Amino acid sequence: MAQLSEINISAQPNKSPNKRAEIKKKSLWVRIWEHKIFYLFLLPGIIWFIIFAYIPMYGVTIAFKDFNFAEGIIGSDWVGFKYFKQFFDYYQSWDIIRNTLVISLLKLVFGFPMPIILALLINEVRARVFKRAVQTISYLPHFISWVVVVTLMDRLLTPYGGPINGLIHALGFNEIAFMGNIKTFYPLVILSDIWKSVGWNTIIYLAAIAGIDPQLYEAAKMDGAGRFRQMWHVTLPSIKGVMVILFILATGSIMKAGFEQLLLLNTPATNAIGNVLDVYQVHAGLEQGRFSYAAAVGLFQGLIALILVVTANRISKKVNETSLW
Amino acid sequence: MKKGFKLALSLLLLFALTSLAACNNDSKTDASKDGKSVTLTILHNWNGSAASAPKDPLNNPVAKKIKEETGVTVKFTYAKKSEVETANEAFATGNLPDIYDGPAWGGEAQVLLKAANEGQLVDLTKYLDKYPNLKKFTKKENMSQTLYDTVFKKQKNGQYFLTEQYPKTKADIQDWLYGLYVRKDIAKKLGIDPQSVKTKEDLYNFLVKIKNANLKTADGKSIFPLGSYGNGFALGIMSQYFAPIPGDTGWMISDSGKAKMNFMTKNWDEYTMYMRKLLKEGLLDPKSFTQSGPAAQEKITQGRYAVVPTQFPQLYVSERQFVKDNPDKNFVPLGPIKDINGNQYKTVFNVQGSQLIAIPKSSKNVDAALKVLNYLASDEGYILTHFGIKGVHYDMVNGKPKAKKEWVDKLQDDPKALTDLGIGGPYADLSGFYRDYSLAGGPYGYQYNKRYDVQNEFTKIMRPDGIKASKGKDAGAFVQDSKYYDQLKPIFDTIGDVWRQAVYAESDQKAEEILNQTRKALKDAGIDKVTKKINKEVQNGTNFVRYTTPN
Repeated sequence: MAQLSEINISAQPNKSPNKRAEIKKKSLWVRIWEHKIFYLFLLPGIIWFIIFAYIPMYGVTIAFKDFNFAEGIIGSDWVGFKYFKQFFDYYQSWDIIRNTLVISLLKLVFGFPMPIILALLINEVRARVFKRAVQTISYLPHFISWVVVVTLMDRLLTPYGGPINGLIHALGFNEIAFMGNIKTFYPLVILSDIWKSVGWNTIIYLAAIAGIDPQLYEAAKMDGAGRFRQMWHVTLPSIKGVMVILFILATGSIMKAGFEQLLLLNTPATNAIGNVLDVYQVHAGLEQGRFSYAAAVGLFQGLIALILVVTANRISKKVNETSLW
Repeated sequence: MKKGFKLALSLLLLFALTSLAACNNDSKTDASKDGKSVTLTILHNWNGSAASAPKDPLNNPVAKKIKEETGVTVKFTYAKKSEVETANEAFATGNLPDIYDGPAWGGEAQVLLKAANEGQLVDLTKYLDKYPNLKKFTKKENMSQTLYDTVFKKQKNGQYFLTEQYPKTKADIQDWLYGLYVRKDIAKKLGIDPQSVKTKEDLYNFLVKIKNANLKTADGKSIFPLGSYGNGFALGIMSQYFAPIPGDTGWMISDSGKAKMNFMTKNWDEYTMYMRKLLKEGLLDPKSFTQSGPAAQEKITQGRYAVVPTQFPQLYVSERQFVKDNPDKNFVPLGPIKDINGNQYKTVFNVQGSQLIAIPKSSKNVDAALKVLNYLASDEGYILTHFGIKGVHYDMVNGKPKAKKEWVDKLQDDPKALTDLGIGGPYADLSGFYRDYSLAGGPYGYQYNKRYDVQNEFTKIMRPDGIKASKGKDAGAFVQDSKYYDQLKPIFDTIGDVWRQAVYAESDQKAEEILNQTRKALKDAGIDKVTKKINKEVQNGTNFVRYTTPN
């Protein structure tokens, strides 16, 4: 208990001017030491980022080098933008970039609102048991590997004895080859992505909704607002900040269309619209052994993502006064 | 408070240390070296070869005998993804075995060449005099011209490779009997003699007949007229009806000496359209080019394919379960189908070995590695790895090993009975020249095993004119020496994907567009200039290979 009270006191935001001046006088290290328990919580995350995110960053230089097995990343010769040029000269590079953007934008347009809608719907459910059951069931697909999802899709949608086509046939229509069909490829990519991620992505919105002051709903009710009006005028504005933040983060993924999903779903029949940067990089890097080239493609992808996030953040800051930083 | 803080700090340290430990690889854990005994790791870089791994990796009869003879314990690791990827990953991360063994062709051999010329492999020059059994595996006459031109000739400042499993004598040239095979019962039901299907037009008509018969499996599933193994294997052999050397990057050299890469020719359009027609009309399983090996095997076991393109050893193993459940429904050769020039039986092989062996510089003990390889390449090593232990798995009869019948019978019930013991598995790939026929009269148990009777029967149907070895330079290898190769290679690397994309395109026009887009890219990258150079070489009298049969 003594520890808790200590924490509470040191975490108190309202301090007298004298106290604040006293804190300011203390050096950073002294203040860190005073709040060591909090910093300790932070430490595993920082260590993780240093080891797995920052230290490997030196590897990015491989994009500007002719990678040599013996010399390694540091010792290999610098070649400037050779591999970037090679990528932009490659006759399929713009097709690959276009495919990546189209798939990501479709996912953003159709996939982004889905968890918000589901969270709002779940929030309106009053029967607790049913609500919990819906939540749990909707989370489950998140834990299923894409390998299993695509295999299931294949078995369900095959025109050779699959149940969906069986139904179509029973209704008197011709079977449809859904998989490996250029016409159904994008719908399958988007729908399977939504199915897999929608439940999981509601968590953050449900948490935001749970944090809304109930007095706001009561006030709205007093003003005669029905359930829909309450949702429109209370719930949605209250979670707007979270929505904006998540949208900014989502823009950072626009150059990533989903490696596993597209590696498994794309076929020669759909390659013209399904070959994306994420998969191309792996093929070029690991299968063709062009490490520097693949790193250059990856770096280009990362830079565009960074520019998009910064731009979206700035726009949001100006328009909505909500931003990541 | 202090106690809690210390505990938390300790846990954190533990976390950090375990994180770092996770980054470390265990390459040194096998480095047990206690006095005379050494344990060496061998990367067997053949994707999926773990299926023929011995059950006990260290104490199987072959491993024990190797240890007894050389004092070295060998431990194999196996590729579980593409060979190129496995080799790249090993050299890029430095997580290297003590001995490398992989395919003596393709991208993986080029990765090894890059590693050699960047100083990652041991120069064997000074060692070879000490190991007489190995020296011959560096000689030009004991490898294909292509391997010599693309790998051995390009080694800088040393001798880094050995290549093994090249046939020791003409009798040892292995014919894999590539071709189309049809279910005997289906051909009979349609009243068609499989050997009466002789041209690609006959083949099309035959497949249409199968489709129109609306055949079903016992449990009501539809039967595809034409199928394939994983990733479209071996539909590529059908390109031989349109080009004298199969494959997108094969070269056609006319009698007048004009060269053209297959992909750039009208013949390739015709081939693409032929395959499109089969696909569009429901004659070819639409999953053929995309399905995995196990998925294809499932269809064969369920009896869902009427015709499959393959080689005999694969066919014999893959149809085993189906034939066991359905006697008299086995596959038999279809045709053979006439090639581009109308020859039905012409068979010319690019005779080659299969293994490229190297020792990474990080190897714990180069002498121990060479000692093992030297032993395995001896006749004793060959017999051990192919026939097992004398008195147990074989007897010596007239100076030749002869399989014990009880083991041949066991193999009928359990095809892995010997490989489980290390016989015929990865050890056999390191046994020098391929010499089953010259050393033992034939493969293990050929005297009793029904498989060899079937093989002989099929050989009579498919090779009545015998086989010949191709001679000359490979134009594809010549391209690799060109200054344009760096620009061409990325296109070559994806040319197969492009072709498949064209096969599946919505319309013939779209298919043409796809092919032409890549042709333009090839031209921009310099294919025409390379072609001119090959033409000039032909005029100057260079002998290029102009015809080969898949093998």
